[in-house]
Amino acid sequence: MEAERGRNMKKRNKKQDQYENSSLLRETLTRMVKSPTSKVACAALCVIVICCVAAPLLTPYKPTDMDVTHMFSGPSAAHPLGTDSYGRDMLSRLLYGGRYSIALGLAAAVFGSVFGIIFGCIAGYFGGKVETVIMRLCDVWTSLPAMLLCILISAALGPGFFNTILALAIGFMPIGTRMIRGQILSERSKEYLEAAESINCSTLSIMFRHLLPNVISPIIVATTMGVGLQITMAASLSFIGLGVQPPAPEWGAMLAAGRQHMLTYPYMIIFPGLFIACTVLSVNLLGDGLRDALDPKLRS
Amino acid sequence: MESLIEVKNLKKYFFRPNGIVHAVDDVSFTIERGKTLGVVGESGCGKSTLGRTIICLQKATSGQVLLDGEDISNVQGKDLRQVRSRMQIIFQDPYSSLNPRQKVITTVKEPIARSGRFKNRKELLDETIRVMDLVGIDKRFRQSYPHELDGGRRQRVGIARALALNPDFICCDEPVSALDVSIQAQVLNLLMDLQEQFGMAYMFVTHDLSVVRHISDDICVMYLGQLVEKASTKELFESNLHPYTKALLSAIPSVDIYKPMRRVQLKGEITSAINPEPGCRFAARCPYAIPACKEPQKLEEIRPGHFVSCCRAKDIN
Amino acid sequence: MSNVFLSVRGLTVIYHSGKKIVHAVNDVSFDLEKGETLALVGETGAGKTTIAKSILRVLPNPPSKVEGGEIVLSGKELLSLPESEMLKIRGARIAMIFQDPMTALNPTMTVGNQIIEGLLLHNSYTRAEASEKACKMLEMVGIHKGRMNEYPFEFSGGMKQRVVIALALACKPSLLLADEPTTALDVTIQAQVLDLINDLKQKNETSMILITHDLGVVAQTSDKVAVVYAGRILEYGTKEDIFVRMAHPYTMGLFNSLPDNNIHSKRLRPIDGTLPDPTVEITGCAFAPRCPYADVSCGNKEIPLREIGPGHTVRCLKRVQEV
Repeated sequence: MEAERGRNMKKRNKKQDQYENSSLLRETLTRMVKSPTSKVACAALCVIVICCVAAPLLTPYKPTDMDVTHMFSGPSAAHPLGTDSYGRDMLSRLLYGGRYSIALGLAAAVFGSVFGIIFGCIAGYFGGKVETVIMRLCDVWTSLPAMLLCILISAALGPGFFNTILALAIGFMPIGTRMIRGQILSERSKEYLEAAESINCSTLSIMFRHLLPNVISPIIVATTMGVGLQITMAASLSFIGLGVQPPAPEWGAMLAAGRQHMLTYPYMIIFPGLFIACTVLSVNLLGDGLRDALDPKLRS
Repeated sequence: MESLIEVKNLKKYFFRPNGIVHAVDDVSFTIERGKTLGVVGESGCGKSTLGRTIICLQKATSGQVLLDGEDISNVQGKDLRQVRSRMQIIFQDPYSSLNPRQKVITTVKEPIARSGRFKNRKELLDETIRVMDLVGIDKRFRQSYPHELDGGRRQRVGIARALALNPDFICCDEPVSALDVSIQAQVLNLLMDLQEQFGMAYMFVTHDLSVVRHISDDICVMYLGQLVEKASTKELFESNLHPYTKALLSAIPSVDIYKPMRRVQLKGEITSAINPEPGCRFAARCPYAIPACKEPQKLEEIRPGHFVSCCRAKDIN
Repeated sequence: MSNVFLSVRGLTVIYHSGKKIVHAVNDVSFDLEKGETLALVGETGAGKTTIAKSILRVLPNPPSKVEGGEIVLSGKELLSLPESEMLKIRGARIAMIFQDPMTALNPTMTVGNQIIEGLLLHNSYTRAEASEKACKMLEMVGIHKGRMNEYPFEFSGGMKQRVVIALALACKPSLLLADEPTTALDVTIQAQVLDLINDLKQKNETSMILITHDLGVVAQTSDKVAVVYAGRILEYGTKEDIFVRMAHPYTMGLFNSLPDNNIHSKRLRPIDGTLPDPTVEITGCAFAPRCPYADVSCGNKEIPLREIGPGHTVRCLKRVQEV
């Protein structure tokens, strides 16, 4: 009798043990791996990033190497994606350019989110006048069209890699602030925060150790989606002459350069456009997968 | 010997745009060492606010709370930390009272680490395990997250957290209301065992009269922020005096199928505590109300240890 | 026998949860006569709400699936009815009162409109007629008809639940499913609401299935009781059978753990252990791991329901032997 009971109990305990150490991160990753779109998107993104990083290994040309004998040559054996108006190899420019574009997008999204989180936390936790001031500033900020805002800041700061990141990050900030503050409003009434106060946690500790980890999921998703958005914005800034300056091979700048020759040499805008589109699509699909994986309703 | 906690004319009001909510209105009582005071009442009676005000999670609007004779109503900084380590709270909802992103062991370890009593990591861990064993948290759940545990186990984690600082007083805010009947009994037994072992006082806030009857030594009945009756458990159940207490007790559905319910019929709904009229707030629904009930009522000691706030207490009994 | 209004036989329902299967309801059978109240008693996760929702056929499919059984209401088999037929029955012949009054009402519609909507769907009234009937329903549940055009947020919890009851009874259903109708309410309001349900039930001869974990509520309102555990009925009988002649160890455990039954002892008598994992298929008695009387024979095969008195059945080897 005891043995039978013991065996049954053990079977049930084993099932319990499988749940042990199933942290949120692990659970999220497991769920993401199950989704086919996430897997494809992740793979595609990895390929693009690795190619950009390993550019010197993949192409013998430097992005600034000019070969005036082969200007405007279409795709060929020597130049798989053709050359541009200065005879520079398109493939190398795209691969090296990816470093700029992706780095811009990533850095701008991450910095924008970080600033947004800080302000959103302060607004949401303290409430009252502090919240009003921060949120009204956000309102003013978002009432300006994002592109216009970035152009203004970029024009004020001047062109260049780091200035572009700053301009994009500042434009992205209010989204994070709004989102975090909204999350905090609903989380604020939960009792574990009162419990933290009752065991003598300091305000900063409550905000960043207890509150933040529980409201951060939507922001992670938004940041991932934001990377795609910021890549596009960076490209747009370069397209109109702000942002990264020539001869740096940024994708948007390449689009701008190819615009004049659109009808005669369409490959000059097709390839940069394709690279932008694929990267942004992969990032967005990854963000979708992440959002679904973090959805608490889908968790048991 | 003086009481552990003495509450004197405590008031807690919330100032809202549409009026002042009189959540706790002029409440006074004492809690002795090692004893349990039950606080019962329905929604809106202010019992949860009362608990949180006593342990300084909220600041009182007026009145005093004395801990071992010292006024703690306005403590700040280091003194507040001292007070907090002596008075803890167990929350009602086992689902929202634990940080979903913290493992069980971290939740119990945090207050101990903050108290600074143990500098050594190993000693800290040993103490954490000791507390978890005390409340019966199985070894295999130590590294679990709250969502992996059922309600009863989560509540044990909440109890462990409250116990971690060796408090003299624990405010139990409806600790078993969200649990199933069989688990309720387990948790109640645990709370009583811990009280026997460590001698802390409890303030047991609940709306469940059968639970409060089992665990409390004395009981306070509250209605819309006012304390209407206070007596020992036996007195309250056997010879209660206030009309609201009578109505409350008669409304509990009995498990005795042969006993017909003789319910005291109450008129209308619970009124609001926003900008209330002076006088007894139960008068609007009371079957014994007279014009004198509109005057502010005094808490009188009708029998030794039995306090009632009703001008008709003597007539109707 | 001819008075049987609702007959449930062998109802089995599963949920798909990721790769796992949750056995929510396992081979549940019971009968209900006209005007009778059956209480489904059990703890959280026992499967009581799933049973009620299966009768009403509002279980989301997927992830849930009715694996087997039949539900016969006045001669009509409900599980095999096409959805178009079921639409006519839902709300009109069978109505449900949900547990949480805070979320059971649509916050963007006035309470009057919510009752009128139901009336118009199932009857051929004009809007004016429906409006009048809705007023009458509100008055019947003790809400002044002047509050017809107010929104749910303007009502207290108890009043919201009364609106939910008015909504459920508007089309004079013959079967009422009440899922923990008073759990979220204060005890004085609970008493009012229970009285109200009883009154209306008696007036209209409505049969009711009451889901609750509160044995006090069961004692005051039910005729028959089914004790549910891990999706199975462990004991079934009249109120007297269950409250006075209880036979199953789980039923006994439930009663023993009530504080009211332990007034003279300091410690309560809880049931050890916790509910079983519903994703694990159980052989033998689901309650055996927690049962003080269990032995090896309890874990071997499916325990059948045995009749130990007229209409009183129990799913237990031990107690039946002793009786």
